Amino acid sequence: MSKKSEFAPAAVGRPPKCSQIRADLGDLSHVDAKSEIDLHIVRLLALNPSLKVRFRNQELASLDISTKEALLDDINSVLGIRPLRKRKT
Amino acid sequence: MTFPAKVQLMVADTEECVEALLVELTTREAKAGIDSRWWVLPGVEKRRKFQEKDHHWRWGDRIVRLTNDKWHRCLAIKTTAGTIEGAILYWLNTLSAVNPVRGAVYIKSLATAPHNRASLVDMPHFRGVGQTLLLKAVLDSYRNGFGGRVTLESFNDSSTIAFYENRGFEIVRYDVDGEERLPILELSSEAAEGWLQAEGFLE
Repeated sequence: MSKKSEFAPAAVGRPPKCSQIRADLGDLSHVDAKSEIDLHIVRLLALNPSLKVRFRNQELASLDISTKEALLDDINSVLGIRPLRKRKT
Repeated sequence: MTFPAKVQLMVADTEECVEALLVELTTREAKAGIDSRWWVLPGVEKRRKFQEKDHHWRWGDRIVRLTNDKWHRCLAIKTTAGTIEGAILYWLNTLSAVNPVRGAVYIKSLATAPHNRASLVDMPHFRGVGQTLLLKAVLDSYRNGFGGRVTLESFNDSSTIAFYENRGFEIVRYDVDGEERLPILELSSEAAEGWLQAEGFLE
């Protein structure tokens, strides 16, 4: 690739159509997530309603960070999400 | 993914890699670092700037409307000098355009700073900004259980489409917007996993 050949990508900038938005998901604006991991867990639970049965008793605010990480590992395992590695540079 | 996260950018002139930060873009930073700065391009004709399809975008306005909406993410790449080199805005509560019972990240806006566009300036500052942001959307799709699926509406020009196709996206259909036909592209979970493996994020 020459130094001048890099193309700068772009997306059009329109929001998705209503039919593309999941209708079964609630509004999370009321959620007071204290950290990135809290918000990630909240989103995963909302995106996967079947998980709520298994993890419904978890009160994130009362958990320490290592317990939250263990909870996230469990959720990922149930969903088949493999752990991501840090990229080798 | 915790923020700020370190990313590598290539200096276009020297091809040297430098460290930059991936940050959550705030309304304030979008207004100051993008809307007020990106289109100040000495030596580039006004007419030429207006030809860029994102010239009218106001990132600050886009973000401020989404302040309390936790289904969106807006990320930017920021250099150690504090300049914003590109930004992406995507949704996490959206569906695949191929199989609408499956989730997919939907990219609403993606842009590299105009001073990084070889089509606009003689010597771009950095290369790979757009690809880095796109890869972050794929990673977030994977982390949220969508298998890395990403959908977007592209401009209908061959170089834009080729950029996405070279990274595994396929045209799903065309949507009509006035007189324009806009391609809807999607990265499948298989293609996404292949990309994440090639980048060393997955075994």
